[in-house]
Amino acid sequence: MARPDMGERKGPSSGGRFGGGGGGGGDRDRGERGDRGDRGDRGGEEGGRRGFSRRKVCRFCADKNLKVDYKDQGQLKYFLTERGKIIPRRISGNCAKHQREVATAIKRARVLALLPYSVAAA
Amino acid sequence: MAEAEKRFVREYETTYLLKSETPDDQVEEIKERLRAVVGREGGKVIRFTNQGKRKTAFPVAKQVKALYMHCLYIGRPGLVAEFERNLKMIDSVTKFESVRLADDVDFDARQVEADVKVTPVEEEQRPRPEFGERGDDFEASFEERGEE
Repeated sequence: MARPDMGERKGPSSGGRFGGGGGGGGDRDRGERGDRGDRGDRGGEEGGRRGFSRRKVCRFCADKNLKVDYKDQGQLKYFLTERGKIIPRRISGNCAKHQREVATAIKRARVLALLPYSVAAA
Repeated sequence: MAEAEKRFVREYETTYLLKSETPDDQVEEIKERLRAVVGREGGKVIRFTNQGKRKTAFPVAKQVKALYMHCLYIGRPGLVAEFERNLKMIDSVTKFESVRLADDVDFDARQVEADVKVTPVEEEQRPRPEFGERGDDFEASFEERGEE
C-alpha cells in the first residue's frame, strides 16, 4: 500500500533530474523497511499501556468560586459534545460530585430550551 | 418571644418562557398575576427578571425565539404547585422550570428587590475543539514511542 503513495510523491522530483532516479529507488526501499520495523515496535507496546493520560483536574474543585449554574449556557456548553451529548467524566476530568451537578444542570437547561436534547449531524 | 415569631420559609426560583410575540403589557399582566398568587399563598416575590428574547436551542411552540422570565420568591412548599398551576393556565407560557434554592430562609429578613430587565447576551460563535476528540495528540504519542 505504501509503495504507490511514495512513488507518486517521489515522481516530480525524480522527473527533474534523471541521474538521481536510481538513488531514489534505493531510498524508497530503505524507507519501507524502516516503516515495517516501527510498526512492529508499536504493536508490542500497545498491549502494555494505551496512550498518555494527562492529569485532569476538576475545574470546579480548582476554582471554588465557580458554581454550576443551569442558566449559564456558555459554561455548560463546555460539557457537551457537538451532538449535544453530555461528556463523560473520564474525558471532562470532573470529580464525581461536580459531574453530578453538571449533569443535572444540563438536564435542567434542556427543559428550558437553553441547551439542545440532540443535534442532527451536520 | 421574638424568635417564636420568626417564620422560616424556602426560597425558590422559577424560569418561564413566553411566546416571543407576547406584547409588553401582557408580560406585565402575567407578572402581576403571579405576584398575586405568591401573595395569596403567604409567600413573597423577591424579584422578577426579564431576561429578554433569546434564541432557543430548539423550536418552542414552533418559534425559534422565546421571552425568558425569571422569578425569585420565598414561601411554603405548597406554593410552588400553586404557582405552576397558574403558569399552566396562561396560554402564552410555553415552558417553565422551578428549582429550590435554599431552605430555612427568614421570611421577614429577606428584602424585596426591584424588578430587573436584562438585555440578552448575544452568543459568540466561536468554534471549540471537541472534547472527546483525541486526534493529534493521540497520534503524536504513538510516533514518539516508535522512535524510541
